[in-house]
Amino acid sequence: MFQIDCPWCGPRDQQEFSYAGEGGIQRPQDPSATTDAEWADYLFMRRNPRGMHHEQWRHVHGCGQFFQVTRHTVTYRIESIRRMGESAAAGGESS
Amino acid sequence: MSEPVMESPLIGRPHSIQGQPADGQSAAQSGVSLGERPFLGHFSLRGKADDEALMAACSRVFGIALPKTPNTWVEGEGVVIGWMGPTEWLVLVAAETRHEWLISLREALADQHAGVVDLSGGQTLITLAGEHARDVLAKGSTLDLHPREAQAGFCTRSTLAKSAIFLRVVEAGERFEIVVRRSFADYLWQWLVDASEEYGCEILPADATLALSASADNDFDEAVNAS
Ligand SMILES: [Zn+2]
Repeated sequence: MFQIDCPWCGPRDQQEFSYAGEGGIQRPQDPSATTDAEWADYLFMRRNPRGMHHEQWRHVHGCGQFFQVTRHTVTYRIESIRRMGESAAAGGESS
Repeated sequence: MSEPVMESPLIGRPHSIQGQPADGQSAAQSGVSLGERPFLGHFSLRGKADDEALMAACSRVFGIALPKTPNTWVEGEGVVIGWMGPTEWLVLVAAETRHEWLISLREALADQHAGVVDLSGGQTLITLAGEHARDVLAKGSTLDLHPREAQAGFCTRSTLAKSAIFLRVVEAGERFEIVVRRSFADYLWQWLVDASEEYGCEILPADATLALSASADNDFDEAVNAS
């Protein structure tokens, strides 16, 4: 059974969670100054790596919180889990 | 026009209202007892746990601090408050005090950055107790409800038999409460009756009071003191 360690609730079954898209995508600082291509890249283009992937998940049938997950897309092994606003490098400290 | 009357979502299950044991079993034979606590006040309270003014206002109106530890509930005088998320709590009160609580909550939090939403008509509470209560839940839940993991005071949102629920452990391993949305209540009730059948299932009369450790009609006091 695949478990995800919610940063608020602890380990729970995967069925309590929903995937919430690729993580770490930043909205362009000045949308009016971006080109159509840059805007389209921000809106639509997503990575699809074979390997480590930075993702957002939501504990939808639990605390309801969004959080960050780094997961290997082949093995499903979860490398790290952080609350929103916590950086990967800081290892859980607020960035 | 006649007065509006509240109706339990389990009204179509007459045994749940009349309190007759299923298949004529007595309490002594049954490994599970099921019941409903209809018409309770269910309020969703939203706010920030690090908002000190809000926390102080809540403590004043409830007489007890909101639980900030994830997945825990606390009990005040006539009120149970469960942690639902870092910015959300479920407040449960007895049926007859629902209106007063709603007014005093809205008054107490009027100047705060907070939200109180009355969910009472939209959900109900099912009680599940007995030595096999945990076995019944295990058929439709992935939570580890063994007393070593889920002690009295534990609560969480989760799923049970594919229904979204809020679960509260009243007595570790033995007594549970399930808050379920109205539209899922009949389905979940039938699922619970079916899942309980093999252990012998007693259906309790509907009881519109809140399960509090201070109330005389349960043995929660002893359980708390013994632990
Ligand atoms: Zn959670």
